[in-house]
Amino acid sequence: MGEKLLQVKNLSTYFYTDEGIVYALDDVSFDLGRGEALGIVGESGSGKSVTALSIIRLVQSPPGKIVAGEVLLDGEDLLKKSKAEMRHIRGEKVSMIFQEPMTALNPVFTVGRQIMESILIHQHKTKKEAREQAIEMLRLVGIPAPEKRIDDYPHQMSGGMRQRVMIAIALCCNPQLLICDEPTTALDVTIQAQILELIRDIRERLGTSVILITHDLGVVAQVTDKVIIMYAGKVMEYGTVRQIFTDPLHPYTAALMRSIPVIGKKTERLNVIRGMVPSLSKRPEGCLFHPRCDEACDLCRTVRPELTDMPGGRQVRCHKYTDKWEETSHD
Amino acid sequence: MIKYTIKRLLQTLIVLFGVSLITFVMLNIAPGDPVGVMLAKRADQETIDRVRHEMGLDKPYVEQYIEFIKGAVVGDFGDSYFQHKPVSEILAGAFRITASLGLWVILFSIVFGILFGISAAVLRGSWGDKLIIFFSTLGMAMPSFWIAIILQIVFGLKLKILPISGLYSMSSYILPTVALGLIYAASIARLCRTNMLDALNQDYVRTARAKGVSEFKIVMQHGLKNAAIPIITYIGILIKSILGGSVLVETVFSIPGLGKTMVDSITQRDIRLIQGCTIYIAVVFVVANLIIDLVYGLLDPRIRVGQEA
Repeated sequence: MGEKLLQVKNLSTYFYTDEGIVYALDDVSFDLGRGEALGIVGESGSGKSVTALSIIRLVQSPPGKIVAGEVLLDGEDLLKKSKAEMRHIRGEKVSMIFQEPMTALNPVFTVGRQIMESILIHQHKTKKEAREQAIEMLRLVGIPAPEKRIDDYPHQMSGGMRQRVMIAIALCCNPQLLICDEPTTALDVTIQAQILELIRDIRERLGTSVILITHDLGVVAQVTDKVIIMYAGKVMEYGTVRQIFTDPLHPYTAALMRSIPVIGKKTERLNVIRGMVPSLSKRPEGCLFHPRCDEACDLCRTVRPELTDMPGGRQVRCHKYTDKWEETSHD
Repeated sequence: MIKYTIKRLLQTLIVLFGVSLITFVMLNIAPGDPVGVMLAKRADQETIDRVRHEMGLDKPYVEQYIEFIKGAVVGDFGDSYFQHKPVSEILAGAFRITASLGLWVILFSIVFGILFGISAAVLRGSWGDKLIIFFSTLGMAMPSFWIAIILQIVFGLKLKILPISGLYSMSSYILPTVALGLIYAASIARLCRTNMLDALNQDYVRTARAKGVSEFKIVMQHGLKNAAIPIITYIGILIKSILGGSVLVETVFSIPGLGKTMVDSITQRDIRLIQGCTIYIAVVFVVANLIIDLVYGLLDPRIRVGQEA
């Protein structure tokens, strides 16, 4: 679909802690086309937020460090940019909104000032023009009476409103890529639907590419076309929303699907995936998911699987879909 | 905000009235008679009674208190028993000295405290940070009069580059300013570092970074304004204690400021001067508190709304 806006190649981000190296992101690659929306799904600690922070190079350092890989935006490697160049890219070409709208805005400045700040950094505008644009942005994200609300402080707004303000800040310089890191996790369900609707609407109207990070498969289904399933810092499966939902290939994806309760269907208990996400500093041998996998065999316990291309443009990281699986016996 | 200001002003008046009453009662029930001190043991009872009558000390307490309040409202605390000058004049003179030194102390401690505090926060974990923490701990641990004496020995007696007593030229301000200001600067530096680190770890700083705001602006605008409240509180306390005068440092450097005036007035049982000093310090404290509270409102909108509600 179209030309590539973002290409992430073999990106690895490690955290060097006292307990050892944490492999938060290990050899992650994916592409994002212009105007496309990509969902990144995973449990807590699967590396999905680190992926986002690595793309705009906001991983806290120390202890975090991007150790390898390329992040190509329009063919230019962001990892090779200087700090000053990165500042021009952040907020102008790539914007990000975060999980906690309650704390993501600075409590001592009005929302107007916080929107205008971004406009004044990246565009040659006077304060008056920036203010007018800020009001326009608030209107765009659906805040009523924006001329008045622009002088509000964050604590005078609800969580949903604050997340709208965050989106207004992110969009005010018309970025090519909007990264949403669990944008609706802290909001209640009705507000969640409104915010997702807004993100979808913006993508259609402005043609902004979107990366949506979430642990909620339902959220992804509402907004994106393609999905990456992440586990323990690695991409486990990649495909379209339809492919993933109707025919999950990886045992982990399948388990995730089973863990979504179906309304109207009576079950004795909820399906959960047994075990825990492995500690990223003491990773298991072989496939990272094998301790929790029902189909694991000796091969899975010893050899780390590679990402395999599948029909329909899908990718999966599981021995089941390789030749080696055929050769080993299963009983 | 206006309603709140008026409310606070009224509270201020009540506090001052209470202070005046307590001071008056305490001084009159405390042992020691100013006339006795004044005339020493030689005077006979007749002379003592005459002097007491001249000073109005034989009148009923209520009458004395009302007279005191009448004067105090217009800033007249009567004449000092020993210096034979109006108390207000003595206080004004001492205040000028304490305030002119205090201004330098405040400037010194704010500038160096915030400068080193921010540097330590930005350089967290580095050698620079550790050095600043070490010296600020040292600065807080050393008593100011001891620093004063050491400074006098080093810069006055050994190096002979700075005057060691009085306040006659600009250079004579340097040693007392450093002696008094070091502990405050050290405290502000530590306070600033802690609060700055706290602010810089908040989500809104990450948001600012994601907007492309420069590190300098993140620290000086997003960080400092959030870190400012505890620092302002401390600066308020600092101003109060500085305007009250420092007994020890003023004594070491022979500076006739408020601290020295107050101690002298107490040893001499100069009741009017003591009353004047007490009321003065009470005014300094309440007014400073009032200003601090109003500044909070300017800095943090959440407090402003809380007050209106």
